[in-house]
Amino acid sequence: MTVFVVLLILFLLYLVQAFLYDRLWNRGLSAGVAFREEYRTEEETSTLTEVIVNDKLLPMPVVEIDFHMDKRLQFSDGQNSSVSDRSYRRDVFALSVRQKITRTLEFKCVRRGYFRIDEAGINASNLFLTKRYLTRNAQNTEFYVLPKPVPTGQIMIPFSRIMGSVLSRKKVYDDPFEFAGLREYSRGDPMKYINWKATAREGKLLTNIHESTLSQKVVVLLDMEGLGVQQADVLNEAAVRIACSLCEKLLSAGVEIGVRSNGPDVLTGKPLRLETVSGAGSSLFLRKKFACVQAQNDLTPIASFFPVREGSGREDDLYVLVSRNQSEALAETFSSFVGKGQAVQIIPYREERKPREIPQNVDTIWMDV
Amino acid sequence: MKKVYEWLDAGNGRVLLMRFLSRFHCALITAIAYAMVMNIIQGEGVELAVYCRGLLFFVPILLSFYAAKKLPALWQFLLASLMISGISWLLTGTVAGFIAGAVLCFFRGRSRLSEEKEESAFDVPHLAVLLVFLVPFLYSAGTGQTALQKLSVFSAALYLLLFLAYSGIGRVEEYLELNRGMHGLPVRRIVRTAGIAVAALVLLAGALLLPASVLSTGSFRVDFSRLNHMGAAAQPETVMEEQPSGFEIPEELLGEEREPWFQIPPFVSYLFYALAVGGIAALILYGIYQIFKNFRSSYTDNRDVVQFLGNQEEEERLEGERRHRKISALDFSPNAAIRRRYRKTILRGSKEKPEDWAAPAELEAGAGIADETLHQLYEKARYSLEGCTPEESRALKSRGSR
Repeated sequence: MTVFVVLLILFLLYLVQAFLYDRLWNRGLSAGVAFREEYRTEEETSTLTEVIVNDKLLPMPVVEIDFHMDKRLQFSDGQNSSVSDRSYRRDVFALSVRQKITRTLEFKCVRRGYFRIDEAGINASNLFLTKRYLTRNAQNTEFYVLPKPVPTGQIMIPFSRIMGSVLSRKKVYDDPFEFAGLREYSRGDPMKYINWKATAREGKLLTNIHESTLSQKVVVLLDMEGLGVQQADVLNEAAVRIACSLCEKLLSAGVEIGVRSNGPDVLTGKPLRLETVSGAGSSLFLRKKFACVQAQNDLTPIASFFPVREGSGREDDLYVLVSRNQSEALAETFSSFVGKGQAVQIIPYREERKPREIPQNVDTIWMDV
Repeated sequence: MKKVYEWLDAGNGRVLLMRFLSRFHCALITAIAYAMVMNIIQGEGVELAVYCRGLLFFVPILLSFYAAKKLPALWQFLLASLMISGISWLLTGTVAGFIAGAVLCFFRGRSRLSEEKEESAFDVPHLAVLLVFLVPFLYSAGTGQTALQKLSVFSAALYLLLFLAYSGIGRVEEYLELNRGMHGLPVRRIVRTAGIAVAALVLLAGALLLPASVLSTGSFRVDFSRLNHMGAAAQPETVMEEQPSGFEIPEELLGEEREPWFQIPPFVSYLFYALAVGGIAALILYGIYQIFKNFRSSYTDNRDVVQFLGNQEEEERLEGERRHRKISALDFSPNAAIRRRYRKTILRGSKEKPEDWAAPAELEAGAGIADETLHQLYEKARYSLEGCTPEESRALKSRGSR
């Protein structure tokens, strides 16, 4: 009889354990997946942290965390992830009572893009691993892989030509807010530029020198047509890198820029369009925008995104078209759009370079990528 | 140690322990069967030595397993089988032992020839096997063999413990085997947590079951002769005999009422004993937890940074809980009074039960209430650090009563 009572007690204890885990397994249990950095450049490595907290007095011998990530981010160990359309990662943790575990996973940024992790699954087991419990935790973490800069030697060719065009037609205006230094007064200097304090100190007339601003704006037109074919993918990525590197250089040279593309911005779903960006401080913003632009098939032709010039007051803007499209039709359309002005077309290519007639008003630069 | 594991074809200590348990489960069955057979043959009370001799059948079981696994040629295995049968004869002291050894080797050989991947019944304990122990138990109950009955109960208890340990370790091992290729799998910590749980269960079960089975009187009886006389419709009568106590009360002290009308059943005292053991175990565990709490620190295990949640985190959590906790019925503070009034007003105005996640503005919109004072006081009571004053609570109350 006693043996049966003992068996009953043991069975009850087991049931109590099962009941406790059924009711309390997810109390104080949380899983967080977060990118450690906000952005990195292509081919660099970054880290992702998984933080699991078990804030209760029940140990969790096995807690599995799984989440999906874009396959353009590759985990360095590559062992706990399976890659199909997306990369599926699963990690196992063992948590004691009131414990927090932080695991850092290194990954490589294979290609540019904008990445989010919205959800992570938690799969936990009870004390004797006899039952499994599932839930999903909302996550909110994002990461940018910025386009890789084009080597200076390569980008200097189009940059110099663009700057040449810019400088040849520039109108310089003094910027009264940007102080550059002092010089001796010379006949003809406006009275308002005389620095009276410095003059009193030195005993001779001194005038302020101001930084100048370039009135001209460069509008970069980026064609993102084509996806899925290896050649197209490579050339489109090269086009993004070229456009991004050019814009960065132009910004640091004090040139105001605008960007238009037929490729949609992954955040808004609309074609990328930046009216005016200026100042070297906008460089990161611009690179992030270029990280978000996507290549697709059957996009609206880039010609439809050429802005209206006449009557807009921006007839002097310099247009730079970056497209892998080598067709004469596009060159002609671009040439007729530029009209009497000057423009630059950059064509990234690999192996194949179609001979074609070069329009007079468009400076064509071929870039072997 | 690794070389030993390799030689024994066991990946680690857990597998080795499981292998030991799986051989021992067969030995337990053979031991009790051997004891019963000897009892039938000899027709007298079984001795513990006979039972222990039966347990020695563990050796041929183990040897036959490794013979089937390790010996490359069939003739070598046949030769080994002959030797194993001889050993089992020697160990058990009867020809039955030789036969049992031969049968065992036959099945092992058959599994080897058919290249079966699954482990045979010799190697896997199963809960249903507990029914096997019912045979000697019922036999002893029918024939009045106290020692055999005690042994059968003890063996069944031991088998149950063995089964618990085997299945517990097996489950952990199965999980680890399934995820063997996983990088950074915290094997040590999984084994530690789940292993301690299994060990605690087995120890607790052992502490409760083994004394009970050892101290059992073996006095359960079934009168089969009466069953024969009364015919098939009659039920067997069970007779429970009380264990003779250590000292006897003189008859004159008992008076005329020798048997009281009510006696506390023995299992009740055992229940109290179990509760006391459980309580003490819980106290010890709590004490260990308290000791370790003071020594807890962060450490790094492979790629994992393991941190214990300190008092600061606990206070933050409790503060969070306090903020979201429902108002206690015993809370008569101004904050609670205002929150209660707000709740009542909202519930009165709402057609359906408001959602838990709704903000005060949403609740009020849902209930069609536009009371700015109540709104502000509620937000102050719910979210502000200083909370509401008794005057504010009274003002709201008096406003409501007007």
